[in-house]
Amino acid sequence: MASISFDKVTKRFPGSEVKALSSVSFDIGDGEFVVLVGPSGCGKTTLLRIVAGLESATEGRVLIDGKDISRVPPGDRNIAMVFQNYALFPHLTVEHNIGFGLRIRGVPKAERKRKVREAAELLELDQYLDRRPGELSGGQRQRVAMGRAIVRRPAAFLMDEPLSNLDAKLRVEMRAEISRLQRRLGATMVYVTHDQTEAMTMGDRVAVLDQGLVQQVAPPVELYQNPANVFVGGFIGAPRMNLLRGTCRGGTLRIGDRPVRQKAPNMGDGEVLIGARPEDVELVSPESEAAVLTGRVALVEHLGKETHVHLDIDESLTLPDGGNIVATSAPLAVPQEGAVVGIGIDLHLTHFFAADSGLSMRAH
Amino acid sequence: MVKSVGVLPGSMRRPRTSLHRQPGRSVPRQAGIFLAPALIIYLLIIVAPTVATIWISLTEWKGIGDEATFVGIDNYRRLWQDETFRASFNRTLTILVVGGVIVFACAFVFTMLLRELRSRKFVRAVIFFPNIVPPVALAIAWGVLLAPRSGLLNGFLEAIGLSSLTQTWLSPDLFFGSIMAGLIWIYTGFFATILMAGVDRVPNYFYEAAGLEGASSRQLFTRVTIPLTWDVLSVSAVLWVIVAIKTFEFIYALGGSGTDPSAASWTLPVHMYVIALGNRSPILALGQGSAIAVIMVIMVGLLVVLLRRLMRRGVVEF
Amino acid sequence: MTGSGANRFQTGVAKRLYRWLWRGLGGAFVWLWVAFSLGILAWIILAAFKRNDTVFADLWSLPDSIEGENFSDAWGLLNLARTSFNSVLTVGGGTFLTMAVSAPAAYALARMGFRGAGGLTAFFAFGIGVPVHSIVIPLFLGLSEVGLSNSLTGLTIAYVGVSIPFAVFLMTGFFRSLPTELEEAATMEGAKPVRVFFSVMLPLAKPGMVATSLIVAVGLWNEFLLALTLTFDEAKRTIGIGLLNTFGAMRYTSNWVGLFAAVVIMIVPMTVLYTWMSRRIIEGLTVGATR
Ligand SMILES: Nc1ncnc2c1ncn2[C@@H]1O[C@H](COP(=O)(O)OP(=O)(O)O)[C@@H](O)[C@H]1O
Ligand SMILES: [Mg+2]
Repeated sequence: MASISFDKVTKRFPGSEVKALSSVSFDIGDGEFVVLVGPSGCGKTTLLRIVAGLESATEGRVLIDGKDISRVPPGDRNIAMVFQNYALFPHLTVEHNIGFGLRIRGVPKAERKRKVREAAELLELDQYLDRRPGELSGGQRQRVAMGRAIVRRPAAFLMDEPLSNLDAKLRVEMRAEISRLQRRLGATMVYVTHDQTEAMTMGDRVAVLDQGLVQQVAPPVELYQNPANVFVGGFIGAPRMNLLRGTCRGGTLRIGDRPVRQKAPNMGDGEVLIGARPEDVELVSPESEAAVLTGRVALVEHLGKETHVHLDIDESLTLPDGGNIVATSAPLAVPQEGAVVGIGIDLHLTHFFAADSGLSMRAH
Repeated sequence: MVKSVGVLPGSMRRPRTSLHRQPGRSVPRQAGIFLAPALIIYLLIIVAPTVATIWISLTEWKGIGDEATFVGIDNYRRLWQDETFRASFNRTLTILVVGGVIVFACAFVFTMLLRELRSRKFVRAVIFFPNIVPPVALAIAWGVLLAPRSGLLNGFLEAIGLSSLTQTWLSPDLFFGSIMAGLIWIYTGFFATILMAGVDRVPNYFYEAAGLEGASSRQLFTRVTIPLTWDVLSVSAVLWVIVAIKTFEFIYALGGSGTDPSAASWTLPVHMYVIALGNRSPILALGQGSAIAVIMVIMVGLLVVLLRRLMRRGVVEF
Repeated sequence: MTGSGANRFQTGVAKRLYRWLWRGLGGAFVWLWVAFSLGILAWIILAAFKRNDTVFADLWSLPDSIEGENFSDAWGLLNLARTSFNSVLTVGGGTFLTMAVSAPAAYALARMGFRGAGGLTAFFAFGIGVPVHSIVIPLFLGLSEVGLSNSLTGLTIAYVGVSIPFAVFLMTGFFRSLPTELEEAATMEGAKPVRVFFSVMLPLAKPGMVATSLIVAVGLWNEFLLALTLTFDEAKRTIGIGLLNTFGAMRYTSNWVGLFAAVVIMIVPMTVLYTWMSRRIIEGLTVGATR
C-alpha cells in the first residue's frame, strides 16, 4: 500500500495564463480514503492525472511512499485509475478488459483467469465475462472499470467522478459499495467528485479545492463544523450556509443598523460575514426579541421530513451572489408565502469569517 | 536559492500535454520508430524525385542518354511566352473555377435532395461509382457516348426527334466542354458523398431546435448546415483544388484513345506529359515538362494555403 | 404577426408550390443523373455481348445471342492471365505495405504530440498535391540506379510511396477521432506505446484501416501511369496497361466489343468490392478527411 504526498504541486497548461493548480500541498496516508471535492473546473481531474502520470506538474513534486515519482511512467507507478466515462476497451470482452493489465504484465493465463474471476465475483460480474462493454448497462460498465482497477491489487486507486453517469438510486448503492470495497482491500483511495454529499459520506478525509487552491483538508464532520473559510462553509452542506454581512465594534455585532442582543464571541473590530446553516436559523415573530432581522417568505419547499423556507431580506445584507436566506423548519410550523417573519440566529452556532479574506475567525 | 538549471520554464519545454510527453519517456525516439518507415519511403519515392524535378526544370534535357545542360529559368521564361502553354494553363484554371462551381453546386443539390429521399443509399452508391472505375474505362464510355456518328448521345437525340441538336461533340471546338462535362459527371459523386456524410454527422436536434424557432428550409441550410459542416467544406475545397489541377488520366485517354491527344484538349498535366513523356515528338523536352510540374505543385500549394487561411474561421465542434 | 388570414394563406400556397417545384425538379435531376450513369454502364455491359459489326448500327438493341467470344478475345487482348496476376501482386502488396507503414506513422502524428507533429503532418499531406507524372522520370532513374526498374518489386515500392500521403492523411483523421481515455487507460495498465498501438488503437481504428486500404487498392488497381513508365516487359504488365493497350490497339483492330468486354472484366472486381463495402469506403473517406 502507499502514502501519497503533494509538495507544492503547481500546474499551468501551455497557452493558459491561469494556474489550474497552485502550490497544492497535503498528505494522504497509507490506506486512507481521501475525497477531492470542488466545483467543476477547480482542478480535481488535473491533480488526479498528475498522480496517475498522465499529466506532469509544472512545478512541485508528487511523492509516493516518500519517493518522487515525477520521472516514473504511469504504468510503473502501481496505481489504478477509474475514468469518468470508464474508458473500457470496446473491442475486448469483460474478461479481457479486466485482465488487460495482467496480460500486459505477462501474468500466466491460468493465474490471470483465476484473478479475473475473483474480481468479477467480488463485483457480481461473473455472468457477464464474455460480453463486450457495448452490451452492458451503465452500472455494469462502472463495475467492469472497477474490476480492471482492483484485479492487479495496486497500491492506490484513483477515481474520477466514477458515479456521475449513473442514475440517483444506483449512485447511492455504489457509494456504499465503493466504501466497502476500499475498506476490504485496504487500499489508498483518491476519489474525485463535485458532489458534496459523496464527499461527506465516503471519505476518511475530504480535500476541498477551489480555483486550483486547496481550501481545507479535514474529516467530513470537521469540515462541516469548522469550515476554514467562506468557500468551504458555502460548498459543504445542503442547502448551503446562509451568509450575512455584519460589523463588529467593541464586542457588539450589528447586522445592518440593527445591533444583535446576544454577546458576540471574542473577535476584533471590523467587517464580518456571519454564516448560519439553514438548520440553525429559527423563524420567530417579527417583534420577538430573538429576531435579528426580518424577511418576507418567498418560497416554501415541502420535502416531507422537513421544509425549506426561502426568505427575501434586505439585499444590502447579503453577498452579491448570496441570494436569499433559507431556513429549515418542522413541517407544521410553516408560515404562509408572503408573510413577514423574524429571523433568529444563535450566535453560538454561527460561523464568523473575515469579510476581506474570507477566513474563519475562530481561534485555532 | 538556486531554482532551476534549465533555461526554459517547464511549461515552455512542453508545448503540448499529451500522453507521450510524460515523465520518464523519450518521445522523439518512440515517435521516430513509428514514423521512420513511412517517412523514408515517402522521402525516397515522392520528395527526392520532386526535388530532382525542380532541378531538371532548370536544365535543358532531351531524355535519358542526353546530357542535361543548365539553363537557369529559361524553361519558365519560354513557357511564359508560349501560347500553347497559356491555353493549357487557362484550361486548368477553367476546370478549377468553372468546373468547381458546377461540381459543388450539383453536390449541394444532391446533398439537400437526398436528405429526404428514401433510396438515398442507392443513389449515393450510383453517383459515387465513376470514382472506382478506371479513368481509361470512363474515357472509353465517354467516347462511346459522344462519338460523332455512332455515339449514344447523338443516337438518342435522333431517336427522340431532336436531330437538330446533334453535334460533333469531340470536334476541337466542343472537345474541352465535353471533357468538363465528363469531369463534372465523375467528381460530383465524390464531393456529394463527402458533403452528405458531413451533413449526416450534424445531430438532428439542431434542425429540430431551429425548426421550433421557425426557421425556413433555406435558413436551415445557411444557418445550420453550412456552419456545422464547415470543416467538411474546407477539406472538400482543398481536395477539389488538388483533383482539379492533377486530373490527367481521363483527359489523356479521352483525347487520344491510347495516343497523345491533340493540343485542343491539353490541360497542364496533359501538356506536361506530352512534351516530357509522350510519343508525339521524337525530341522530349524534359526540362520544360518539369517546369510545368513545378508550376502545378506551386499552384496547389498556394491555393491550399490560401483556402485554409480563408476557411479557418468558423469551424465548430459539436 | 402582421397580415390577414388570406395573406397568410397565399404565402402558404406559394411556399407549398415552391416546395413542390423544388421536389419535382430536384427529383427529376437526381433520377436523370442516376439513369444516365446506369444507362452508360448497362449499355457497355450489353455491348460486351454483342457482335462487332452490328454494335453501332443498332445502338438500342439487345444482344441477339450471348457472345462469350468477346470475353475470350478480351482475355487475350488484356493478356489477363499475366496482367491480373501482376496487378494482384503489386496492388495487394502495395496496399498491405502502405497500411503497414502509414498506420503507425499516422498514429504518431495524431497522438504522440511531439514538437513538429503538425509540420510533419503537413509535409506528408504535401505529397497528395504532387502529380505522379511529374516525378516518374527521376523515380525511374532512381529505381534503375538500384536495379529496380522494370521490376514488380520496384513498381510495388513506387505504389507504396505514392499511396502514403493520402493513407497517412486519412488515418491521421481516424486516430484523431478516437477517444484519448482509452490510450490513457492502457498506459495506466502498464502498456508501452508500441503495445498501446497494437492492442488498443489499431483494433479501434479497424474501420479506418479497412476504408483506407480499400481506397488505396482501388486507386492502384486503376493506375496505369507508373506501371507504364517503370516497367516495359510484356511479362511485367499490369491490367491497367492491358486496358490502355487494348484501347490503343482499337485504331488498327476496331474490335470494340472486345474492348467493352475488357472494360467489364476490369471493373468487375472493384465493383464487387464496392457493392460489398461501399458504406465502409464512404464512411472511411469522411471520418478520415474531416478530423
Ligand atoms: N488539457 C488542458 N489544456 C488547457 N487547460 C486545461 C486542460 N485540462 C484542464 N484545463 C483547465 O484546467 C482547469 C481545471 O480543469 P479540471 O482539472 O479538468 O477541473 P475539474 O476536474 O475540477 O472539473 C480548468 O480551468 C480547465 O479549463
Ligand atoms: Mg473533472
